[in-house]
Amino acid sequence: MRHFLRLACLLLTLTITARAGAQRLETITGDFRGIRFPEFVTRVEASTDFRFYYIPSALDTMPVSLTANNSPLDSVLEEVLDNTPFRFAIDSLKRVFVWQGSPIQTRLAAGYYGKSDTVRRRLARRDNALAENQSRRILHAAVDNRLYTIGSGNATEGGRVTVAGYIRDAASEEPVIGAAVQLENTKTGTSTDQYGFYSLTLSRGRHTLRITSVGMQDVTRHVLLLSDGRMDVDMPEFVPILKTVVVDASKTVNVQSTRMGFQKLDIATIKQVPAVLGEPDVLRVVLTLPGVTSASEGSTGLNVRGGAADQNLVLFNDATIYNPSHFFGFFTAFNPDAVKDVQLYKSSIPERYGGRLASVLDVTGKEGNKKKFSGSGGVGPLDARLTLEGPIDSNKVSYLVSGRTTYSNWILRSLNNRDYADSRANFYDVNAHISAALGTRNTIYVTGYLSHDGFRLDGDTTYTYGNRNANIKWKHLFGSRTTSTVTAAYDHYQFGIASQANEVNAYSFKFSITQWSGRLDFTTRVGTKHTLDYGLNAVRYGLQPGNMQPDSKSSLVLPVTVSQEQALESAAYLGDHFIISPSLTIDAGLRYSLYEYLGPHQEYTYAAGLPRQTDNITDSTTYGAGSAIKRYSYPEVRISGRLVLSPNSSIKAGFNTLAQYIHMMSNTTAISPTDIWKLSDPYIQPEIGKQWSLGYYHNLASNSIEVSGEVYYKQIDHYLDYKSGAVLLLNNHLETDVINTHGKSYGAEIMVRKTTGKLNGWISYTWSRTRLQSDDPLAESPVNEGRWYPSDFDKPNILNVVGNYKFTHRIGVSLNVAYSTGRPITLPIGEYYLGGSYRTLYSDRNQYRVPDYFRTDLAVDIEGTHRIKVFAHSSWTLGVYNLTARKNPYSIYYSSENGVVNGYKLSIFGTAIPFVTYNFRF
Amino acid sequence: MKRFIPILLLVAGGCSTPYPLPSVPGGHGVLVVDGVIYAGNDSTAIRLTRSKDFSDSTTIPVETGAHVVLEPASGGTSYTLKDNGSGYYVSAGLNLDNSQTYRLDITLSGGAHYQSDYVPVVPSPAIDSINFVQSPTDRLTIFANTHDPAGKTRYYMWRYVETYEYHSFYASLYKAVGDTLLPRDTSVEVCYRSIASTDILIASSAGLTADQIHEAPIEIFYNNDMRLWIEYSTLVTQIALTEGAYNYWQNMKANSENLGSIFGPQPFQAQGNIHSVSNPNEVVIGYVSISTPAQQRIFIQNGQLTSWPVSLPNCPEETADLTKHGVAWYFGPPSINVPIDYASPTLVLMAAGDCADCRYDGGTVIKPSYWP
Repeated sequence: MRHFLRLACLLLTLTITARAGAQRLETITGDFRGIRFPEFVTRVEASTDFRFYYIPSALDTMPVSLTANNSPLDSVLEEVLDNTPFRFAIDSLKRVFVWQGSPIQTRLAAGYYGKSDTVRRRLARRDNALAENQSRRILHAAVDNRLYTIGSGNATEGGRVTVAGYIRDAASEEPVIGAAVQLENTKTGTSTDQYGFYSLTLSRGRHTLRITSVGMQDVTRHVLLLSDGRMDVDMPEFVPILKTVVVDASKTVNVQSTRMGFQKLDIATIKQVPAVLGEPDVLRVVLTLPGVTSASEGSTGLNVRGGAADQNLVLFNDATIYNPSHFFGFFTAFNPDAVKDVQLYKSSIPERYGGRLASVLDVTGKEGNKKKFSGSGGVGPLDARLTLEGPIDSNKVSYLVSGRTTYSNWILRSLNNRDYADSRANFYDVNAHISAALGTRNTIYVTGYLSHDGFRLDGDTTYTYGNRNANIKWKHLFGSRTTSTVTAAYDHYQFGIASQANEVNAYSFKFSITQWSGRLDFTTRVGTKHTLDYGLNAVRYGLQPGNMQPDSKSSLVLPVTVSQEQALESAAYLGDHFIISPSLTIDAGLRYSLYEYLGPHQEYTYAAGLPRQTDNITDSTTYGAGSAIKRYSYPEVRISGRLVLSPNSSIKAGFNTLAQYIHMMSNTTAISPTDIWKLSDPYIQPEIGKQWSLGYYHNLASNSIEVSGEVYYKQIDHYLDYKSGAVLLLNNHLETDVINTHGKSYGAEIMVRKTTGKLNGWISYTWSRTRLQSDDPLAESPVNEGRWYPSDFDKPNILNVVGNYKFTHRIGVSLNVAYSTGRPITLPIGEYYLGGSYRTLYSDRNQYRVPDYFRTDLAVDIEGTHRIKVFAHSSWTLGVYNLTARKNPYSIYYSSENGVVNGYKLSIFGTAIPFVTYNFRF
Repeated sequence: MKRFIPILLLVAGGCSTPYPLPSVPGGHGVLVVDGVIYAGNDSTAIRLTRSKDFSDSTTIPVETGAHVVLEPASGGTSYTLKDNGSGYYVSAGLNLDNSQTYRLDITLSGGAHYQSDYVPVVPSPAIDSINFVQSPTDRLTIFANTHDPAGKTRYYMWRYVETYEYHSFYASLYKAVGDTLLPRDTSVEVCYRSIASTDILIASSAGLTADQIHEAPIEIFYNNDMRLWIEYSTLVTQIALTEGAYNYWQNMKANSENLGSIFGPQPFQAQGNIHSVSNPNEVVIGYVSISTPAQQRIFIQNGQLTSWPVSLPNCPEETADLTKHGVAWYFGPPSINVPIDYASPTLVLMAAGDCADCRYDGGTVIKPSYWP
């Protein structure tokens, strides 16, 4: 509140209204000791022009005890309301509002204005200072039922003007991403970008804007648009007020947005879904969305619409995360306290993204609280986490640091079990984020991320892996129509394997990817009908595909270093969001990607028409540093359109193509921490994906229920499959071990989501098939003799139910039900006797399925006090993962033991797992 | 990677539970060629069998009446392996020319014709030592150590036949013959049991600066393993492989022994070096290798170990009252009881067979010639 007043004072020196100047002079004098609030109000109203507005029942009994001597009303009120949950605001009509709740900033026809001295001087110099001032002023609009004037001029002039600004969270000042800014009762609107920025061109005159976002209270703004201008809006978080809950649900994004195959989940939603061991898990919640599945329950490798796990671009604050998992894949490597929301693009992928075929999973981190120092954390059965955030320099610079670590080593040691005595498993991750506003037009964001996993099983081999990412972004606004972002980023992923168990064979193996990238992104509004997105980006890859070194003095391990790989992937893109009519909107874009595989490198030549085997190598060519060994380019098309059928329904269609130049080489079902990545080279061609999709969207029950149905058909070329017994580590000629494969997937997805109310959640059902076919003429023995076969994650029927019910404001119950068809597996068809034992005979791949998967999780959230002013808010989450204790098979396998074949069913979570976690924030 | 499973299970309460064998048909009749051809004085036995469906509970079908010939690439003398009627095709020491390559030519009784690729003779260097290490976590591992100063071998495979001495809990002094008890002329208290290795044991020095194998694990014993209660011996046979053979056995091991890992690759049928002459795509199991073996035997006495406690079996002593029933009633079929000694002229102490007669546990009372 003080903060707001200081701002207001500053503004008063700039916005020259006599009225405001006069206000300042009105002061309060008197002895207000030992009275109640209503009496204080009566006396102030009697001696001044101020009029108070408050809920009597809430304030009637509040004691007041102070004396005032020519004190301004705001400082008097501050003293009166200090240490109470109440807030106040004074407008220019001398109305004093006192309420309990989130801090919304109220200021009539005025707002935050840049404090830059140069701006101030320049304004002072200008004759038309007022007009200029009006047009440049950033309105900080905070109250619903007020008319905000933007710019100056005459409303009757006609024509179009643009209003732009930031939508922020009123409590923390963090940007609200993906908020819908809509002209009320029309289809005209836009949504905020990743910085919470929006820009909307409307006819000059009076309008009502409705701003909605998941987890936030809907906000309505009445604006009088006179010329181009800024209006920032603070949205209060959706905090249900006791007793009277009025939910105004105009969540029309589902129907109105042009995006298809897009889902956004905010962290509050994610935290409601019960997770293994109670740790809120971003990727596991994404797995409940339609079209997303995973080959394994214990894996965070996502398969989106039939794509392989490496075909997802996982971004955390724009950093590319190559391995987003901890602890063999049990946990997502994102600290839930540092995450703000998650956006999944599985169909119409914006032009600015590229490089992966199946999806973009954009995890947005929280920005630090700009108003006050605060923190949050939690303690669970396996790990603990802590996040601290706050302002550095008043409200311009904020930071957020968070860390998480496990104490599983301690657990393993305390088990006192022979099999685990020498085992270790640990992980940690650290996030740091700084955002700094430099004036009103520039913002700089600096992000760092570090994750590490290490485990040693049975005292033998030690595995480590981790991500290291850092980036800096500079966002600049040109006028109100163009925004630009410049990003420079460093992304790194590495893993290592080391063993010292046998002194002669002691080794250490290392793999790493280093990625330097730069991007330049622009968004420009052209006229009222076009919004252009355009930009350039470039990624320089450097891979160390494998480096094997002896790891002890007596080791005889021959050092082997697979030669480094490098490549440059660059792209230029242009996309147009074209509003043809209020009901018809088209997004059309082109992304032209150019990929160069660069030297130094040695490439083998194989005899033409013969299988690529080491026996058939005829020659080798050595390329010098920087020379382009192979160039690929691909024009990627991104088209989608939306036709609104009624205010509650629309249809959308899309087509897009993508190219992927870096591939994870893995012949395992689940992502393992020892999977290497490979750049496209003269033999391993870029993977190309094409997707057609069509969807119908309908909102029911005053937009509180979103129904969507989408169908898609997808084609993947140059998908990589592997020869039987492929060697992927320390292989200088991986082309001899891969089989060029193509794939197709198709499916239908239905989702019903209720976003508001005591009962909320979603039901998603997916029917889909994913099939592959070896089409490599050079493959000696194509998989299943070249017939179509189901992929490892082909699960035709998937049903997920995520439901939350709030019994009271303190107690809520969450239920998660997951069903899917069992995944395909390869079963032995017989047995034979060889080498002293019966062994299994295998035939075609993936011709059988494990039994169906079914799981139910239940969690109860118990919140502590809801009082705003307590030292720390705490909550407990109690729950049970896999409530029915069903032994869902991950796999069925047959192993030769002591000479005979035994069958086993492997369940990862084969029992009901209860958990308790404690969370706090302050 | 296999070790991932226990830790996952531990953390997650997951488990591997027995699961029935698949009942899918269509896996019978694939030809299997098992065995190693010995180039020197050692006798060679190659076994021809067929795969069978899991639902087929009979023993593995053997292929008899085949014509099995070892042919040198240069022409020259061929060696015919003799059909012994039980699926084995045998020969005394072949004494092959180590500079030659040979192939196995198989004509089945039905006329189907198979040939292996030509393979070289890869002699094995001597075994440097077979040692054992008892780790602090109550585990004992037997290792093989070898090296080839010439650096030509690189790929190794081992098989072993282990023998251990064990004693019955009671010493039975009498045996039941019909309706009478007779004193035993040979003791059934001490037995020797021999078991051949079942796992594929291979190692390679291909990634090392020297052709040296240091401590390749041969067998692992966990605490209380009865094989080490008294005395244990194992005869390790080492053969050398070509790179192709090594890869084949590595794939065979991965697809039959090392399954069940979360991160395990898809199982597949490894392709060996034996092909049908008429249908190159026909699956034939096995990999023909020619080597001269090296052997070494070691003994491990319980007294050599730091602590390898004997756990006592559950062997309650019971009494047969011969006034109530006769000897045949107590000890004849279907009873599995064995008389121990007379407690009185009409009372006989007895115990379950595996408590009083060591042969019940699969061993023989005949002491092997090499036993100390």
